[in-house]
Formats: sequence, C-alpha cells, structure tokens
Amino acid sequence: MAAEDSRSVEAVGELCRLALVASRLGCRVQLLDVDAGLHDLIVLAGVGDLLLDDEAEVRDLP
Amino acid sequence: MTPVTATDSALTVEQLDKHRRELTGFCYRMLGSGSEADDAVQETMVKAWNAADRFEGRSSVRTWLFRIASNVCIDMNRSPQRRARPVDLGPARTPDAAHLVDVLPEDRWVTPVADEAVLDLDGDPAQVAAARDTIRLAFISALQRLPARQRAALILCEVLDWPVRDVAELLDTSVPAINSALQRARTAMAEAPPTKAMEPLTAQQAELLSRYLAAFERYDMGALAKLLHDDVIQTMPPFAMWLQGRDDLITWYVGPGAECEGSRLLATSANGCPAFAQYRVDPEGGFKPWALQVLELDGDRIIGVHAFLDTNESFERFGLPAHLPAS
Repeated sequence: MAAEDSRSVEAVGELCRLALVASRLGCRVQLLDVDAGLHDLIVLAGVGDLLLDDEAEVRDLP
Repeated sequence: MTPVTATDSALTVEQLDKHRRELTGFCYRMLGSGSEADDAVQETMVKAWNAADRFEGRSSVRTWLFRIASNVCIDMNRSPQRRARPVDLGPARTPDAAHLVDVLPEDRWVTPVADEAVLDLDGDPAQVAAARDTIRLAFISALQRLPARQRAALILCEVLDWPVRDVAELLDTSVPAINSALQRARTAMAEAPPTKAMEPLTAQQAELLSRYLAAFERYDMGALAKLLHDDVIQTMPPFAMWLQGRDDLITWYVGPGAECEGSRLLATSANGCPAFAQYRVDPEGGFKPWALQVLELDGDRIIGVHAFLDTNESFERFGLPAHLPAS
C-alpha cells in the first residue's frame, strides 16, 4: 500500500472516530458521497450504519 | 485523497470483522468502559486495515488483531487514574441528597456493557455462564487495579485461555515474565472483595425480576422492600455516593429519588446480570431515559442495584429507545 494510501486510511479512520463520538453525543450523523472503495473500511470502523447511499435522503435530515 | 479500495488489502472485511465481539470483550475488560472499548476496537480495525497488506500470515488473523488491540489498550491506559465502582472509592453514605455534590469525572467509574456486545450468547451454556462472571462489575473493577500489561496477560491467559507462550509472543516478552506477571496479578485479584458467582437465573429469580419491575413501576415501597436483601447496596454513577441497607434504599426512593415514581422499565442485560432501562416521566409527554439499572441477585433477593445515570453514554450503545411514548 502506498504511503499516500496509508495517509488516506488514517484520515478516514479519524473521520470514523469523529462520527462515532458525534453519534454517541446524540448528534445525527450520516456519511455521504463516500467512495465505494472505502465502504469496507467504514464498516470495519463500526460506523457502517451511518453510510447513506441515497443522497436524496439528505433533504429529509433535520 | 487517493481512493483506497478493498483490493489493496490481503484480508477481507469478514476475516477481520468476525473477531469484533471477542475484541470488544477483551478491550472492555482492559479499559472498564463500554464506549472506550468501542473506540479501541475501532482503532484496532483501522490499524489492521491500514497494515493488512503487510500481514504475512505467520500468526493467525486473531492473534494479530489481539496484538494490535493490546497495544491500543495499553496506550489508552497511560492515565494514572483507574476506573472503579463507587463502592471501591469510599464508604457508604446516608440517604441524603447533600452527598450528590460529589460527582466522579467521566473517566473514573466503570461503565456498563451489553452482554451481547462482548459474549457469544449462543455458545455452550456453561461457557456462557463462566464468561458472564468475567464481565461482572466487581471483576472489571478489580482488573483495573492491575498494571496494564499484567491485566492483558491475566485476561488473555485466564479469561480467554490463551497459552502462556502465545501471550508472551503477543506482548513481546518471555514465558517466565508472563508467568511472573500472572502470579502478581492473581495475588492482587485475590485481595479484591469476594463476590458471589452469578448462576444462570432460576425460575424463582425470573419471578423476582418480574416482581421488581411491577413494584418499581407502581412505586410500591412495601413490595419493593420485600425483594431487597438486608444489606443491599445501590450505586448511582457518576455520583460517588452509594447506599447500603434496605431501609436506606427505601428512604432514598421516597426522598431524593421520589421523582422516579411513575417510571417505566425495559428489561435488558448488562455485565452478565439482569438489567432494566429506567425511563422517568417526561413533562413534555411520554418517558425519557433516566438510568440503566444493573441488578445483582443472591438467591431470592436483590443484593445490588447499580443505577448508571449517564444515559447518553449507555442507552445508544445498548440499542435502547431514546424516548418512550405515553402508554
């Protein structure tokens, strides 16, 4: 894996960490427009349920 | 950002994710906090994914993940403060609201964990019962008194039944060093106050829980008192104060705790024990989360009520409703 890829993984990991903390604090969190190649990593990071495939649903968010 | 695809990795999500529950159990025993355990597992998984192309298969994926998780947990344990139960931190108090001024910092008390998050409840009943004892609040609190590497060695060898040789390799040390660490850890654990092993619930205890639910929801102090052991204790983290004795608990319920009248309870399980999610009456309608009550039983009496009041921390992790409608 290239160094740049490694940094990308770390960045996504940090994003997932923030998403977990925010959802724990009662915030409604959705991860939008995520490259399909990152879905596995997001699932592994325990926040796969925050992925939103259908952007149209964004309009429904409060 | 360069896209990272699954094909970059030599390991599949399934190969890593199937260890999540066991890893969560390990991290919870290491850290004494359900949310910190989730954080540690998340970091472990991200690190594993990041290094997956360098995984050479010289150990199993499971061993490799536990190696990463051990390091993550040991790093998270740098703080000199250790989590504990309020009963480990000071004497029982009188049932007086004045004692509520002493609030523990959020990293100071052991937080609960859902059984299903850390145990394979479909496994052999005897093994499940034994595993439940290793997530009891008293055991988790006693573990936190050990230095982190001793704690890891004890959990891996004596809870998860790993061979000493494998644990030595995982912790980058020798077999004699692990044996020495285990000896010290066992001595320290033996000094912890004894606790009664939790047997599978009997029909009588299932009935006891039904009666507790009914008595608490009716706020019938006479019925409730009959279910409590003479020396029952009640803790209420994050408050440092705790109560001991049936009379003091009842005095609390009709005094500072009187706003619990009208509550609704939902049955769940936590830390190998029966538990109830308590919802108080919401003035705006319905019921709002108030506490996660973890009950300890001995025979046909309740000997412990651990009411975790930080519902923001626990209800979401337990998958409990954020609000109950008016019934």
